[in-house]
Amino acid sequence: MKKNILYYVKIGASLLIICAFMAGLVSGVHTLTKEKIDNYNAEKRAVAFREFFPETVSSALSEITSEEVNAVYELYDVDGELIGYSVDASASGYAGLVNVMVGITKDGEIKGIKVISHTETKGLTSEETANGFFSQFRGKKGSVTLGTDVEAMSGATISSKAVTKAVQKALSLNIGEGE
Amino acid sequence: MKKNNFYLSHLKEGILDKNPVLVQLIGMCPTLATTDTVTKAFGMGLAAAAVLAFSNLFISLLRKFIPKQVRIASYIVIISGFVTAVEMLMNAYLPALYESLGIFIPLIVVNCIILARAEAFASKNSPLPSLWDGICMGLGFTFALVLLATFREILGCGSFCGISLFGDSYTPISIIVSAPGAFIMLGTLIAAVNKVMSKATKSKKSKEAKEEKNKEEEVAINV
Repeated sequence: MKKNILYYVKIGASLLIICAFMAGLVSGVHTLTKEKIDNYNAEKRAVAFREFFPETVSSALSEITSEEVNAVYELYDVDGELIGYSVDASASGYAGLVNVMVGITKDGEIKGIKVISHTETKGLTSEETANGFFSQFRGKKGSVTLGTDVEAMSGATISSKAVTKAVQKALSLNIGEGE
Repeated sequence: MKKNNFYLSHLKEGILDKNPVLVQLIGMCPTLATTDTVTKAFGMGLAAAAVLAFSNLFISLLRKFIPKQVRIASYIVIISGFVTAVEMLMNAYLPALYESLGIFIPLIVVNCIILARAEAFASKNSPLPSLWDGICMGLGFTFALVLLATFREILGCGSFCGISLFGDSYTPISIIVSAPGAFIMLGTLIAAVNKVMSKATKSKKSKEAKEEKNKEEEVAINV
């Protein structure tokens, strides 16, 4: 009886030690690389912000939060004046999450959209798509519906739906309207 | 003398005789997916090789400590720990490569090659040879990937490592950089490599047979 318990304890303990050690290693590397990764992500966001509003000098995480979106950023110009917003939203495509950044003016109009990350077909982040499908979103406010407000990309219905859904989530926050 | 022979012969095995992709036919998924450009293939190969080397080393060091009943679970914990570490390091220091390889970096965890070498070699041998085995198999993996990617990028994009070779005059064969093209190119490459290696083995065998015959004749004459 005692021998059996010891046998299981030995197995459990060895697994515990290995897991603890590897967890320690991973968290060590995480601490080492956290700053660089955060800086890189902030730089990626800043590139998107400047594409929407070229006068952007700084940004800050907005107090506006919602379960629908990942984050809302407020964009400031060189005088510290609020010039617009940028909403980070995601929706499911056919091969995973499509992560979209939506630039919104103070009046609640879409300034532009940019796909930050995705695992759909390669062409989604090409210049052609940017000039075609994505450009349809500019100037829209309130809500966007695929088929009426924007036309889907030919041969990429599900990806189009995903992008539209993400933009819709951003618009549902009603940022900038009624001001 | 014997030690040197092991290290050199193992290197040859890893790259040629027992190449994981071209001969053992394992680790095919990342091979198909990341060989559309040479830079991606090289990055993927080295990332997998790094994980393979370190996990082989660790598993070999712990081989007497890990109970047999939970060995696969332990290997997976160790391998995924190293993959996560490599992923974070790539995100921090090689962000462009990290973005282009995307989901295939975490998928290194389930790369057959790593688990296969852990079970077949690292769990039964001492640390230094295991580390070397990881390095050799990793180099063989990288070699296969870069070889395939060279063909796929030149024919399918008209470039090499992102540098356009033919300018506008060349219309790239776009099927080659897509999934079906990957299968076709990989199959062709495996067939070609195995043909070349079987020819080499045949000529080596006939050479050895000839030498045997000469030795027999010499003995006959001396008698």
